[in-house]
Amino acid sequence: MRQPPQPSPIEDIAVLLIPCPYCGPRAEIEFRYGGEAHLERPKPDCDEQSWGAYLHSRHNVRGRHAERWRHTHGCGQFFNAIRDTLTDHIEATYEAGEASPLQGSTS
Amino acid sequence: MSQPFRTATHGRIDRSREIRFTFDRQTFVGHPGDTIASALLANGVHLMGRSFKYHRPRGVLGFGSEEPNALVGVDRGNGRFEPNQRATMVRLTEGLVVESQNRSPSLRRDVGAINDLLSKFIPAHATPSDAQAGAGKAFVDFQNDVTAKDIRLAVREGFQSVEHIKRYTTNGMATDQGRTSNINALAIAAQTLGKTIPEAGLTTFRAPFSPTTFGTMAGFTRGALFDPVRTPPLHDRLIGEGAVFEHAGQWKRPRYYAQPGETMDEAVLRECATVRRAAGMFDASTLGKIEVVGPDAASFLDFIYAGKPSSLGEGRSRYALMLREDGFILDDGIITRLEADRFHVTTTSAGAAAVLATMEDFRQTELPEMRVWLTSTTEQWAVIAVNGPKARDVLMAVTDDVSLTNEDFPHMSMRTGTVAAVPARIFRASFTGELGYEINVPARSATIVWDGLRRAGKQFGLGVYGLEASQVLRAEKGYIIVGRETDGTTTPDDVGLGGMVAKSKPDFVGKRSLMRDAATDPMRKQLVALLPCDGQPIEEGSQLIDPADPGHSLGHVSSAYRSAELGGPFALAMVQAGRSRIGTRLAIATANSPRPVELRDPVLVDPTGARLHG
Repeated sequence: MRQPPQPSPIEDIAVLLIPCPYCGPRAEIEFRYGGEAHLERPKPDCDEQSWGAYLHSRHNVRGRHAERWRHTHGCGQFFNAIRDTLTDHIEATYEAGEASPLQGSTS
Repeated sequence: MSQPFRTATHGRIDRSREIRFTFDRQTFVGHPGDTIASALLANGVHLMGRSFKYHRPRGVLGFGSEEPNALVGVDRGNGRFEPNQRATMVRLTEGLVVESQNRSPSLRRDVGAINDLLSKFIPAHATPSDAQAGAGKAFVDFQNDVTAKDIRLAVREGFQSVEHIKRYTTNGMATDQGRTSNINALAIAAQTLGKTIPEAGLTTFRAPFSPTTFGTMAGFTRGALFDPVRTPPLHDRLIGEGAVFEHAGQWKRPRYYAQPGETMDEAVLRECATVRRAAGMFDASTLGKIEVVGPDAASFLDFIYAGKPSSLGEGRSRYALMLREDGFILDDGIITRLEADRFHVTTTSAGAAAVLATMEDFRQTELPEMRVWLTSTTEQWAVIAVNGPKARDVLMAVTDDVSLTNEDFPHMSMRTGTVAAVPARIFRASFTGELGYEINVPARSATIVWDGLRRAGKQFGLGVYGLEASQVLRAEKGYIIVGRETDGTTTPDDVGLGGMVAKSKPDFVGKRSLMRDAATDPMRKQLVALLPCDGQPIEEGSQLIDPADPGHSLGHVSSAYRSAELGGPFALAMVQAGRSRIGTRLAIATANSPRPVELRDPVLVDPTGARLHG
């Protein structure tokens, strides 16, 4: 996993910050949520069930959730985050395409 | 006006203007910038109320939000009476009605003051060091009439915590939240408890100690700043043309251009006739524009769009549909290949941001290996559409370096040149069905080109047309508007654009969904035109029924207008198996008897495209 850049002084301020893997910690308002991460897009010759699942089925995780975010009002990059859906704590962010740190766990 | 207690200068008070207000029904004069307190003091009024328990006379003690004493009732009419307002906090306004509190029948002759007279009267503000403090009534909290004795009583009753003492005595619980009284009260409590003040601790102030307006929290996000207004570079010119604007997302766009004495309907019919018979100018600058550049630009667009932009030659354009993964139409536009590795892609005005975001999503996450870059150029290019049989003549008058003949510059192609001496990308494209050019020029030069076309167009009868006329003209031609004919459950085939889908491509966004049985069900709603048999206007949103079997809806009217060209009302509708019903009749359900309508091919004007290619 890519190490986030040097912490910036704004980390000390009590607002919700999201550590962009490219820009470092930035205020949540700069980001847009992008839904569940690590969905595999099936090829067009797949069966109806797997295509339907790709379109519609999402995990509704209670706890640590791998999800997509975009730094819309910043670098514009999509990246992934592990966020606890109970506490809103973001424990890690990483570049799109990297393996999920949750791999092997239940979620 | 002379007010003996008013200073001649200082403060944020406008002494040049007067405000009248009443205090206990007596009229006084103040100035803008006064509070009730400052205005009353200037008028020599010091007695402003009585305390609520002992009815002791009260005047101003502090200032601003810390004032514990001068509490008044403020009546703004219509039941908007607010008691317990600090006179030092209420801004004076014209006609303000102020009343003193805790007195009856009047502030000066108050029978309740007997409460005070019956007790031993010591007008002392008790402090912990007062030698006499224990001797009588020494007030600590002026607002709640809490005395030093009350605090000692609380301790005797067994309350140890300052929070409990506060609640038992109500000390510091009034609107000033103990700004005057708390420290003294806590010191007395600490002394009685035999503790130091830091050991006794402090109580908590409650919000809002001073009320905050919603406006303060909303900050600048109010009124005109609630949502940003976007105006195209030609905005001032459009105002000059008499534009009546409508909101299109954040954009302000001309709905029609009013001439004196005209209704909107009359203006729209006139504008439509101008375009069909001569030529009209339309500000299309709000169209979303994205430049797609890179060695993989063509294959990237092949994946994103339903068609096959990679088969475009340089300088050629093609209408394109963008689907969602569920196979339904997300947006439409025109893709032009500027060079082998450079495309100019237009989007709907409203969809520009969503289209770019969707493209970026696929570029970054699904197709990261592709070498392609996306840049929004919506605001860099101003777009003036010139449409109508005289469009070529108008353009020829301001262009000398581009051959405009059909052979050199056919429909759906692009040439670079100068228009009114401004470098331009000229796209031959049309949203009206007439011969049309969409002239793209740098935004800063837009007015030069607009003025040049306007001057040159005079001899050809060139007019201007707005969004409403544009919608009529495109509907006459059966061109869809995404979000009108489509509703998020509409496939390309539903709106007669199945031919725009390059099914042979191995993969593209939405391909798999279009292969589902439901996507090819012949009973899906399909685009048709409607002509009312009674010649009366049709209402958008009307439901279509079979008069022989009126129990259920067969479809709905998506667009309905009056047409100058057709000489009457017409509509576009989405109807179950609509294409197979062309030539037959259905009916529009109304509250009374159903109105018969004839189903027609959606292209009502110039079905052969002779005008478009003229």
